[in-house]
Amino acid sequence: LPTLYALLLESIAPAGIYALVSVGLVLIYRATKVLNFAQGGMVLLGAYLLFSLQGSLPIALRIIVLLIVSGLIGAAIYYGLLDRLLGHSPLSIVMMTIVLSTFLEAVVGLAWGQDGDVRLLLPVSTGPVRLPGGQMIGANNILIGVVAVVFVALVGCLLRFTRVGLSMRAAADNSGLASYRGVNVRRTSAIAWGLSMVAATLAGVASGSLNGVNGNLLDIGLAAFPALLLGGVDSIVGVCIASAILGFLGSVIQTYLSADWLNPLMYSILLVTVLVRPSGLMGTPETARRV
Amino acid sequence: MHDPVESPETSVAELIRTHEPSADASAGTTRGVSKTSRRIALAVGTMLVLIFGLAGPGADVYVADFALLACIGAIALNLLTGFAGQVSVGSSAFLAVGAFTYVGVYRFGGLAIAILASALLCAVVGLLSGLPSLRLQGFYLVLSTLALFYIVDFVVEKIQFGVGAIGGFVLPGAQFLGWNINSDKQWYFFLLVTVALVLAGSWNLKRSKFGRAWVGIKENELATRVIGVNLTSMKLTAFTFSSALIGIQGALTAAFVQNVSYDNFTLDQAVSYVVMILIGGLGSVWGPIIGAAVVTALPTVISDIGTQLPSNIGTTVSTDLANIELAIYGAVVLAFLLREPRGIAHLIERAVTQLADKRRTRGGEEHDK
Repeated sequence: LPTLYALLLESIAPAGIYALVSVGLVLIYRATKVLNFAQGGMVLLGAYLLFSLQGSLPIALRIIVLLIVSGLIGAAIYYGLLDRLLGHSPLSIVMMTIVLSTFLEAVVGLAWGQDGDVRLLLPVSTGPVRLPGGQMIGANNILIGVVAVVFVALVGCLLRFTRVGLSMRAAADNSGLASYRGVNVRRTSAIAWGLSMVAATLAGVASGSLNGVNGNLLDIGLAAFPALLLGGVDSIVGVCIASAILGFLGSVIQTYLSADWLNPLMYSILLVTVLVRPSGLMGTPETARRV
Repeated sequence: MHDPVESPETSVAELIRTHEPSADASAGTTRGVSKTSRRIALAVGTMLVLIFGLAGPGADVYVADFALLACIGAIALNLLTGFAGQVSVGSSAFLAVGAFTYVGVYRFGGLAIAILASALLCAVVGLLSGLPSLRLQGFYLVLSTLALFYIVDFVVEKIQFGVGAIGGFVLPGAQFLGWNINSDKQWYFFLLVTVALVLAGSWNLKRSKFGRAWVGIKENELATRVIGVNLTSMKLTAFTFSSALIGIQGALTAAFVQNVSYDNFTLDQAVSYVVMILIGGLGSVWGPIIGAAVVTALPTVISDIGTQLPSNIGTTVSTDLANIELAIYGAVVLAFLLREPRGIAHLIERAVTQLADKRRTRGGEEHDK
């Protein structure tokens, strides 16, 4: 059986992917008070965007183009759908995100479905590297961890130290008051959706480099919800901690039981969290009551 | 264009005054269509449905059987989501429970016993799955029904592999109280009666104390509690009724296709029921029927169109049928949510009412009474 060290190494990639997706969900929740069930569709779309750019531009440029396009798509989803549903019942908005996920899945299937299962080319070799202690691990696993940490740190800095970030925090805290004080709440919401789509794309690329790009990427969106709820739907730090915990737990489950157990057990954790402590590890209690 | 369906701020007084909060649908006889014309329309509709069953082409009757099965699930989900406002993606979990119950009990008395057993078991599971709704709303509730789906899916998979039926269970023809139901036509009439009963049930429920309480919960929980409705029992009855019905549908589907396997029950399937009630018209009695018919018939219609098209486009259509279908109904639902959240049922209702009004003003007073 693998050692604790090996299990920890193995959990880097899933934890990183959970963190990317769930931070995206937090951004969307804070800005628009919506749990986005379409995040999986966005992950899928992002991964296929990079796949379709493959071989066209130098790799660094390709990634930049990819992230810009992703951001624009996220903002477009906000302006095209969410913004128009403001004032409708939450019921309509929940169902909109559920149906949007199906729609994105179908569009991706129509556009790229014939290409089958493909593997993304990344700027680093995906070969194994030897770590101190003699463990072997795929280089992309480490890269995923690094990308997740860097992305979350950048988002944190954006929120903490910039003017845009300040207005985003103000809008998240109380959108009514913020707009009286001259914050353009629609714009901060669009930025949040754009950033969230960027995170989804990164998660899609990360996962695609591990297991190939195919329809299964859709499931990543739903798989991140236990981490989101355990961490607290409005806490970036909380969901990162929860992602690390559940990433590790996931590797343990896969090692000692089997992959079948992953979803039922993770969602049981979610159910218990939601019933016992709806605000999660670090969320604000008022938020949980409002949902 | 942008008239919101339900304002969340419905006042208590308003709720007490109008026992029928969605009064737009059944406007009565003062305006719009008279009772007689409604009855005539219903009779003509029934005739057409019966003639189709007797004389319709075999392949179409087969599709219609699936549409009728879907009607049950859509009506059931409409009770929960359309009336009581509780969103659920748990439909396929209850379908699975119903189908596996049929596999377990059909030997002991055919469909009749299986229907009872599935309804009971699903009512219990539904009651349990409704418990989180007492504390959670909206988004959180969707997550708890998602948890239900994953857990049920896991359990039925383990059961199926546990008894060694790797490829699924193959079932014999169905029996209902001694009658053999074998052909698609026999199923058609059997299901027609079932759907009629379920529809009548939902029609009556909407106007019962349950229906009013459910609509109240959907419109404004606090106000509903203030006027003395027991939210706990009302929410749980919505879950129980709805899941029991979906369980029955699961058993019937298993008996009809004569094959049950855990991987037939997917999240996409659950979403398709959400789509049905949204397209048809949330909270309307006829909406789920329309939605179920549209969503079930769409693949057949698309592939029929595909064969008419030039061969190169035609092959694309036939290979990508599932995605085209999903894209179309995804787009249609998004459009409906943005433009007309009350769905097709409301569009029809409005068109018919306008037509009747126009005719009445032209024809003078003799049409009134």
